[in-house]
Amino acid sequence: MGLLSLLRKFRKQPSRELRILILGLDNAGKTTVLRVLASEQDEIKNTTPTQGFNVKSVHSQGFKLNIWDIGGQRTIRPYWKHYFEGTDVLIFVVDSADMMRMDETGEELSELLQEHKLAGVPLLVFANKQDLDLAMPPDEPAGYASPDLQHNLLIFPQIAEKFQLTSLTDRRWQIQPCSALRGEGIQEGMDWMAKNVSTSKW
Amino acid sequence: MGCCVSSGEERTDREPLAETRPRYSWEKKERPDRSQLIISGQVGVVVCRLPGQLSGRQFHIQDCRQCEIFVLDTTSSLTIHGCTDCTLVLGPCGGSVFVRQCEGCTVVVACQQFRARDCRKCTVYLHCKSQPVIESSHRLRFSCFQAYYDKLRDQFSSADLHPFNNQWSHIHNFTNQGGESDWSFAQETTPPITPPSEGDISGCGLTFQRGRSTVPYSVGPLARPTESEGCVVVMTGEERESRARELLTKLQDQVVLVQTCHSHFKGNEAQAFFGDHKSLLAQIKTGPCIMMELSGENVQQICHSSLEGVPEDVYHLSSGREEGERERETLANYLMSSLTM
Ligand SMILES: Nc1nc2c(ncn2[C@@H]2O[C@H](COP(=O)(O)OP(=O)(O)O)[C@@H](O)[C@H]2O)c(=O)[nH]1
Ligand SMILES: [Mg+2]
Repeated sequence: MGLLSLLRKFRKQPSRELRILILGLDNAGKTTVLRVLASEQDEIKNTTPTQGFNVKSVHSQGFKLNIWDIGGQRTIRPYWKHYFEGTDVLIFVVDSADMMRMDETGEELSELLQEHKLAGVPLLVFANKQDLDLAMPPDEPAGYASPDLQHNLLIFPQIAEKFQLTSLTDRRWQIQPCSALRGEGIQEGMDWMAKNVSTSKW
Repeated sequence: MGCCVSSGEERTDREPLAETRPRYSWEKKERPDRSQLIISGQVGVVVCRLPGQLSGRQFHIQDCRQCEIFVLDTTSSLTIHGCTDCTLVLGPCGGSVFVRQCEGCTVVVACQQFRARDCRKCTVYLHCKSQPVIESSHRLRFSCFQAYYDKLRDQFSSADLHPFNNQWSHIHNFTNQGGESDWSFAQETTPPITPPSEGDISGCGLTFQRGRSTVPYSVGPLARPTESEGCVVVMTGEERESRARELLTKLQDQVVLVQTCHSHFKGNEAQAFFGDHKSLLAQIKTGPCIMMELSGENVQQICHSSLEGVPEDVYHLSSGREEGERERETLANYLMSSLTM
C-alpha cells in the first residue's frame, strides 16, 4: 500500500496531522497490518512479537500521518491508554481464527469504547486471518465438527453483537474481513477510513 | 452481500456495491474437514498427523491429557490450549504457535513466532525465527529444537523457515519478576521422547537422537562459555548448508555452537554491519550465507583443521583471538537488531 499513497488518500483532511491507532489482543496481527500499510511485504515473515510499540510516520507538504501499533499482551494492555490522546481513527485487529479468545477480545474492545479519550473516534475492526482454515467466515455460519467447541462459535454478524457494535450510536464503525498476511481487505479498510475520518473530529 | 458489517450510514450505498465488491481468496477456498484440524478432549492416546496430511493448514489442540501428539507436517498457525501432561511434537509452523494454560507438557516445535501464556512446568524444545515470548508462566524450561524425520528439512522450506535461523534462546518475559522461577534453560539437550514403533508414523524416520537433528544444537548467547575463545564461520555458495553441517558434525563435542543464522543481505545491509570486517564482508556479499558463532578452547585452530578440503572461496573463519572477539560481537548485534519489529 505504502505510506505515501495512504497519505494522499487522507490529505483532503482539514487537519494537518492524522493519528491512527492500532490495538487488539496479542497475536491478532497488528504489526502485520502495520507492515502492509507501510509496504513492508518483504518483511512480513520476520515480524517479532511486539514488546512496546511500533510507529510509522510519513510527512509530505506539511501533512503528517502517524500510525501507532501497540503491543497487546495482557500485561501491557494497561499502557494502551497512554496512546489514546488525539487519535483520529481506531483500528482494532481481531484474530478471527482463534475461537477461544473471542470473549477476551470482546471485553477489551468494549472497554476501549467506553474510554472518554476515544469518544466519537471512528472504529475499523479488521477481522483478520480470514485465510486460515478455522477462521470465522464473514457471512455464513461456521460448522465446526467438534461438538464441544460449539459454544465458542460465532458467526460474523454476531461479532458485531458480541462487541456490542450494533448499539453504538456515537461513532462510525465497520467490520472489514481481511488477511494481513496476504494483503487482502486492507485497502478496503483504508478506503472506509478515508471516507469516514473527516466527519469525526473536524 | 454481507461482505462487511458496519454502522448505519454505510448501509445505503452498500446494496449497489454488492456485485462489484472484491472477491477474496478465502471465499473461493473449499471448506476443509475441520475434524482433521482440531484435536480436542483426548485422554491417554497417541494422535498422529503424517507428512502431507495438513500441508500448511491451521491446527488446534485443546483440553488433552496424557496424550502423545505427533504433527509431522507443516501448519500455518498452531494453538495449544489447556493441555496437561502431554507430549507434543510439532513440525514447522509458518506462522505463530500459541501455547496457553498448559501444564506438565513436553513440546518440540519449530515456528515463525512462539508465544506462551498461563503455562506451568512445560519443557519446550524450540526453533523460532523471531523472539519467543512468555507471559504469566512459571517453571518453563527451554532448549534448542532437536528432532529429525525424513520430510522435515523440506518442510522447513515450505514453511518459509530455515533450520539455521533459530533465535530460540532470546526469551522475552512480559511478566518478569526477576529470578529463574518463570523460565530457565533445560538441562537435557535431547527430548525424552520415544517415537511410536507402530502405525504409519513408524515409517517417517522420526528420531530424537543427538547429532541427527535437522536443527543444529546451539546453546544461545546467554549460555556462551565465558572467557573462552570465540570465532565466526561463514559458509557461502550452493553447498553452504551441507558444508556447514559437515563441519558441525566434525566439531561435535569439541567446541560449543553458540548461535547460527541464514541470511541473504541486500544492498548495503551487510556493509552497514560488517563493513569493518573486510574478509568476512567479502564472503557475505557473494550471496546467501550461513553464519555460525563457535566458542571453546582453541576453537579457531580446531575449525581450521576441520575445514580442510573446503574451497577457500566459499568460507570465512575469524583469524586471531581479537578478530574472533570482534566478529562474534558484530554478529550478535546483527542478530539482535533483526528482531526489532
Ligand atoms: N495466516 C495468517 N497469519 C497472520 C495474519 N496476520 C498475521 N498473521 C500471523 O500471526 C502472527 C502474529 O502476528 P503479529 O502481527 O505479530 O501480531 P500482533 O501481536 O497483533 O502484532 C504472526 O505469525 C503473523 O505472521 C493473516 O492474515 N493470516
Ligand atoms: Mg505486534
